[in-house]
Amino acid sequence: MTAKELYKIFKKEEEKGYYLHKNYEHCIGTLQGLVDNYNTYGYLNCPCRLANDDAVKDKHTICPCVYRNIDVKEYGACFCHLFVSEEHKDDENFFPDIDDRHFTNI
Amino acid sequence: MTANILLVFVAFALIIIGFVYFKSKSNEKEIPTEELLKNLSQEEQTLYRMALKPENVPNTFIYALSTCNHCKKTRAFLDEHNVPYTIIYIDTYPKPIYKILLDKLKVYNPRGSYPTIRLVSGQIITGFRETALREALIK
Repeated sequence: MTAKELYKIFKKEEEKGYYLHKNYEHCIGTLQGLVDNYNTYGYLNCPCRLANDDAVKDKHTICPCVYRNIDVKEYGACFCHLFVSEEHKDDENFFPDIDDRHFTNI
Repeated sequence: MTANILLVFVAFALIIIGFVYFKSKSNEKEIPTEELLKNLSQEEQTLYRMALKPENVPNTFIYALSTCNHCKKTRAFLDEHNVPYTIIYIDTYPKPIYKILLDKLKVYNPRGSYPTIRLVSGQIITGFRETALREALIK
């Protein structure tokens, strides 16, 4: 699996209203982190969060994580800024500050 | 009477067993961390100690994840502007150690986002904030 392949897969999330960030380089860089995690742990753990090397423990942070929808709704983007809302889908410089909802669960 | 003595004996034995068990459990938590530290390279050990006391580091100190794209962008920005920094990739450390590092990170950034950047002045910048980095570090 490559970052570009993952890009094509996640592009389909647009049908649900979750758009990949307009900044393609940022997307590929983030997706490469996901690919690295896949190669290390065997699942697509969020590249912006620490993994436990346990797919069950990390079920909430497997991309798209369970926090994505609510973060996109509240901030306009997910924690990694990989997915954004329709409102911000054309903004290449949209990188809002986002509190990590998952952090306290580690 | 014999039953009472037996009951006291069993209770006493259980207390002893419980004490030994919890003592061994508490030792289990300490020993692996120390042993894991010994297994790290000298550079990793040095970075670990720096991460616990970044106030002693003479330049900008960054808590990062090896997979995090904002961390990569921060590095690229600092490299481009020749800003000296020290960076630790928390996720490359064994779990008991990264939990200690995580506790330290929480002190500076309870939100837990990466990168968490501690400037020499003590100022904390979280995430890749080009404007904030430029204002704080670029002359």
